[in-house]
Order: sequence, then C-alpha cells, then structure tokens
Amino acid sequence: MNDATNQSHIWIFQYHPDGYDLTDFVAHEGQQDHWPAKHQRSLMQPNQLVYILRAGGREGGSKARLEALGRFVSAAYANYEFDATEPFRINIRYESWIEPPLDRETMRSDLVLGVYHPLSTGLQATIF
Amino acid sequence: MPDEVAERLAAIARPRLRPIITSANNQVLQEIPIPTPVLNGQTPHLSHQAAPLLGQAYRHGNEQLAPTEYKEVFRDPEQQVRGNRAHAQLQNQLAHLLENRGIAPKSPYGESPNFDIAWQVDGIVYVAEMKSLTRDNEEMQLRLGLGQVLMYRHLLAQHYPIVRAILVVEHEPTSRAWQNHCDELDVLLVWPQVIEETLQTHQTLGPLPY
Repeated sequence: MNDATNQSHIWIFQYHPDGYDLTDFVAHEGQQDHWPAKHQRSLMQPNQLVYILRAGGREGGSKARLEALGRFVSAAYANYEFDATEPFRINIRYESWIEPPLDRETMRSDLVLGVYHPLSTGLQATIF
Repeated sequence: MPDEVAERLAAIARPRLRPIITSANNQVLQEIPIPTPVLNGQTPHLSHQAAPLLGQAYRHGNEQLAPTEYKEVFRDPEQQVRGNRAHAQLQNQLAHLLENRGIAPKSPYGESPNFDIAWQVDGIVYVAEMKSLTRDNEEMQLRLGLGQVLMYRHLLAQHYPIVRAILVVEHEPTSRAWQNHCDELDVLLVWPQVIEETLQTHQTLGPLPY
C-alpha cells in the first residue's frame, strides 16, 4: 500500500461528447466554466492544473483524447440552485489547447501513461 | 493522479500547448455563482436561515435522575442474530465484488482502525463500514456507521494521502437527508441494489473499458 504516497494535485476532468463540446463552449462562452466536483473536492484548490479529457463517446474509447489544460479558479463550492442532485461545483479557466490533442493510442503506447487506466483504457467517471 | 503520471503528461503535453485566445477572454460568466466555501466537507449555513431550526431556549438536563427513571435496555437475541447476519452478508458481498475485479479486500490488523473492509486502487485507499438496518434502528445505525467511517478515514489519512470513506447499508435509507448529508461529507452511501454501479461510477473498483 506504499504507492499511495505519490499522488500529485494535478487533475484530469473527463467529459462525454454527447453532453458537452469544449471547442464550442470556448468559442461561444469563453474560457471559464464550472464543473461538478462530487468527490475528492476537499483536495481541489485554486491554481491547481486540470487536464480536460474528451471521452470517446459513440466513436469508441479509442477516440478519447486530452484536449486542453486549465486551472481551478475557485475551491469547490455548493450551489443547490444550479443542481440539487449534484450541487458541488468548481470553476475552471481553460488556458491552453493541446494541439494536436493527445490521443488514446499515443497515451497507451507510452511506458508511463500506458499503465494509468484513466488514460490508457478509460474509466466511466469524470474526475481523476 | 500519481506524480510520475503528472510529470510524464507534462513532458508530453508541454510542446503541444497553445494559449487559448478568444474574444471572450476577459468574460466572466454571469451564471457562475459567488463560491460558498466548503469547510471540512460541510457547507456553512447562514444564521438567518438556520435560526428557526435551532429551537427554543436551552433546557438544562436533569443530572439527578431518580433510579426509577432509568430505562433498562434489553437486546433481542433474534434481532441481534439477524443484524449480525445482515452485516456479514453486506461485508461478503463487497468482498466478492472486489475479488471479482482482482482487488484484495483488507481486514484490520495490528494497529489498523477497526474498519470492516479496506482496499486500494490507483493509489487511493477506500475504507468501508457496513451497517444492518431495521425500521426501528435505521437512524441510530446510520449515525453510528457514519461516525465510525469518518473516524476510520481520519485515522488512515494520517498515513495515506487520499482516503475515501464508504458507508454500506442494508437498504436505501428512508430519509433522503442521509444521502445529502453523506454527499456533503464526501462519504459514498451505498446499499446492495446500487453498490456495484455506484462503486464503479466512482472508480473505486479499477478500470472498466470506456
């Protein structure tokens, strides 16, 4: 159980393309958005970096890709009016595109990233 | 994510980073609320909202109870057996679920807190407490179980950087308030009908092709 001592505070937030489009959001709404912060939120702090991972969606998991790098611009907070079932949110400012996006095949073939399940095979969750 | 993954990711992604430039760079979304800080997993309540719920003037407790006012508590042996059996069933269900995913469930040993089951996935430690429930003891069992698992999380967090708490109960609590309260405290609340789906959704069981 010793490998639990090496956790960073850099995050990966994943979205499903059926429900969100990062490129479209940035083009129309700007660089700041708020995301659910259901778990591990007590560890999230302003200025921590967050990678934005687009799940493969209907195209399949092999099409997943890291698209952008952002930064928390708030701590987690509760907003029951926005969504009573998922009230905890955190504000993120998107700072950089990853161009070309880091695709799953590239991540899978990497010696380090290839053994990290959220990147190599994908997990059905939003926060890593 | 683990340090080595973060470092590797930074090395690979850095040459690909292009600043996002939009006409709305300085835009602040109006719908983003003023953040309410979450302190120790709880959202502070405003005093004017909470005041009506705070009741009336304090009534001093009677420190001189007469012997006849004591209540004796008897445990129903059949209920006790039922409770122990339900507890064991919950524990074994979770253990089998973990073992089927190739995860080794742990029991307390030596100086460990007295949790029911703990395990580790991707560097995160999970600690789970089981509680049987009946109509008569549901509230008390939930209070007890939540208190226990919070303490186990606290104790394990002295040794492990990320520890998540899970409260496994015999059925869905009657009151929705328990789900909300556990959410506020960052404790996963599950029961047999939802345990596998919930634990998978919260990535506590390791990888699932996606």
